[in-house]
Amino acid sequence: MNHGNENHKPLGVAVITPLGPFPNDDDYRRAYEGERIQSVLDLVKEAQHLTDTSDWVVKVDGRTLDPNKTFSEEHLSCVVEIEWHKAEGGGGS
Amino acid sequence: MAHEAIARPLFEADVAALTDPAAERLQLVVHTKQWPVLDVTVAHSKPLRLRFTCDSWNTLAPSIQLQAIDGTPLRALPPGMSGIFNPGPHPTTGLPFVCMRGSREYHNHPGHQNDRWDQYRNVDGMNIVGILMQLKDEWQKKTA
Repeated sequence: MNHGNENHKPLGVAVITPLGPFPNDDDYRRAYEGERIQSVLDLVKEAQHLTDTSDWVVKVDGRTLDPNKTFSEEHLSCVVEIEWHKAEGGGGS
Repeated sequence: MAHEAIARPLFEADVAALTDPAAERLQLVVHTKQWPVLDVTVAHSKPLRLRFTCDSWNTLAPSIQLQAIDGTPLRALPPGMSGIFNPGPHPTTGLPFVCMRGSREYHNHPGHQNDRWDQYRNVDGMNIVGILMQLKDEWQKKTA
């Protein structure tokens, strides 16, 4: 297996945040399997003018991802729809 | 209480993020997002309907009612619920409630009156759709 080529496989990524979908309602942003997930989140952050996402969680189909890993390391390929939002907090009344 | 002239544009700007394609991607069914109510169902093997009443947004957090899919208020939660889905009864509503910052029933609960909404209301991710995404995520996790 040629991991170099694997890392250059493109995938389509959409990120849905509390401010809406990135890049828009219908499209996907091209990324590469060897790219860190955080690199796409940084684009979202800039596009949506987000300032503090330090306690946000990154999820695909309910699974929490490590944004410092690559798409490949998180077993993501082809078309990916990420949910990115603040972690829940509270409880205990 | 915030005047409608202030609260309504903020509400409409917030819920505008929940477009039809966005809702579909999030597996949400939007029943209404007409001022001052956002009414959605979390489509799941155990669906949950959430009614956000956002009068006074964002001076006050939304009042969030947990409902069955027909829109009737839940009087009990599925077994094993804890944390942010609190079986209650809430001292004001007498119902199960959302015990999480961002819910009016949390901030006006006697146990949380020191955790003021004011400190969250302009924080990234604490808009109406952001609160909804947190609840959706937690409900899906708890009922998986």
